[in-house]
Amino acid sequence: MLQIDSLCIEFRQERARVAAVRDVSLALAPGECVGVVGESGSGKTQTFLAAMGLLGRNALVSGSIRFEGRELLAAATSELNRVRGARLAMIFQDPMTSLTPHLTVGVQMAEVLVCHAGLSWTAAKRKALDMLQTVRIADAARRMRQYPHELSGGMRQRVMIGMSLLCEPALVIADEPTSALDATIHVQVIELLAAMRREFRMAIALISHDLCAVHALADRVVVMYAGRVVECAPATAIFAHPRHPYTAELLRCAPNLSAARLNRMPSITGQPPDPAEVLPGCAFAARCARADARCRIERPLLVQSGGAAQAACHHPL
Amino acid sequence: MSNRGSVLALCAVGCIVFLAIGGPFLNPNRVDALDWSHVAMSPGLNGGHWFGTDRLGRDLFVRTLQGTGVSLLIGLFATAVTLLIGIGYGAVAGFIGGRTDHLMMRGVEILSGLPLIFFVILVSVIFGRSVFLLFVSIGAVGWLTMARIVRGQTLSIRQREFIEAAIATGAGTRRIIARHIVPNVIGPVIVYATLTVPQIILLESFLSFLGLGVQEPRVSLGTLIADGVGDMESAPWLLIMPGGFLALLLLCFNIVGDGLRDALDAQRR
Repeated sequence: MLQIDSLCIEFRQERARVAAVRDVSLALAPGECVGVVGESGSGKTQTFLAAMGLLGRNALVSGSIRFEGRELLAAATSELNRVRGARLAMIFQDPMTSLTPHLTVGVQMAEVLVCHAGLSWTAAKRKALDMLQTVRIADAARRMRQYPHELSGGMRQRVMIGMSLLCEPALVIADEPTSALDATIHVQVIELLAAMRREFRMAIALISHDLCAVHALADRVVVMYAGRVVECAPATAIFAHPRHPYTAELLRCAPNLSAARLNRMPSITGQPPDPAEVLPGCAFAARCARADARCRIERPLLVQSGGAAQAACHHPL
Repeated sequence: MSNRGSVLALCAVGCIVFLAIGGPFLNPNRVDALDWSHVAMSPGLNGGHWFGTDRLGRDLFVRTLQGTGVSLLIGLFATAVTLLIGIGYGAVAGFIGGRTDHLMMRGVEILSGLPLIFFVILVSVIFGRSVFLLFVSIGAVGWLTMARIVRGQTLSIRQREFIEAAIATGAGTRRIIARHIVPNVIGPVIVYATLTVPQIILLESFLSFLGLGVQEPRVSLGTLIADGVGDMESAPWLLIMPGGFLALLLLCFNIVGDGLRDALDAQRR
């Protein structure tokens, strides 16, 4: 359904070109939930912003993103506007700033339906009200008339989720839907996403730092590092037996209450490489315990590595 | 509304507007009536000429109020023209950005390089003198600053996430500008508009004073002041009355504008 092929994204800057995404290919099947994980700057968000046509003005994009048979990268804005919001929706990271402050929740939601489904305002508002109830907002009728600043963060994220589902899209891109929220709300939002997935049967691209969220929701996990996919495997396989050393490190660093002592929070030593630099070998080599001379010279390709898993490593675990 | 001065000024503006509309009916004298028995009379209750009369025996009270009305009307109308063009132009330039923005703003800069008086003289010479043309030519030049302000605000709002989110819901450019950007820039725009009104009134008075603006038998504060200057020594009230009204009007509008700005800044703090 969504097919990304050899996507490259570079940003023009004053002196240099900075590559954010390098030759990424991935696919989503209808109804599938793919978790995309990686450190900040690994290109996971940019990959999906490209699909939405939301990249910055200074971006240079090559490759292809096909969605339901349409090429999105070459699409005109008007064509893109028919897809986004309707078939392809996005949930943003920070619900505090992603809702237009001077429009009531009801108007803002109804606008999507008026825009795409051609409903009248009355019909659209009725449907928006139903949706608020579906995303389990108590006292939905009153909330419809309220402004975003009158709602709590968790509630606003529910509104965002509801808004993204109004036109029953085929794919929802959730860009770190929990990271701007209180820890206590994380679980609720993830549970809501899971419930909505059961109800609407849409595919989800869950971009997240939060491995617990990915574990709870994803069928398949894509790990990105320095703009490339380094591992791609079914969720159960990747959590039980990561192939790429970077994935293993990420999992080791996941907060774990029973083992957590603040002074011994594990972390991956070193820094990700400068995105302006072009490395001949594996980008993770400098931080990898298993790296040898070959890793620094020859870039590993993403190959089959036991079962359905793929990893880009010369020395997979 | 804690700023007492601004509220007072706003009330004063209200009173002036009310007087300009209703005032002429309070006085028995007509605007164009010539009272030959009271020529160049000083202010007083005699014959109902509260502000006195000019050399033709016309009642200054009624003429001043009507002049105020005309000046106010030009000020408000030209500001409305300014708002309409400025908001549209600025929001489009700011939102679309890139080369379009560049071209549009260079256009604004070229236009703002034109000397305003020269432009107005040119228009009045080519198309003849009329109040309507005065509206249009003042408004046509006044929108430049408004467009700059709106563009600046739009640029900062465009970076906000809710605009990105609105784009992601598939809203078209027109919808985003009209529904998500313009209502957000309205605050600073209103402040600037309130400060534009007195500027335009002053400009209109200046043009009328030079004889380029409102023509007899219509009066504006500018033409009245121009008349008054001629008789400044023999009949000072002909200058003082309309001049006082002009000063009061400008003062009040400026205080209201400052008050509004403070109120909006306080909100931002």
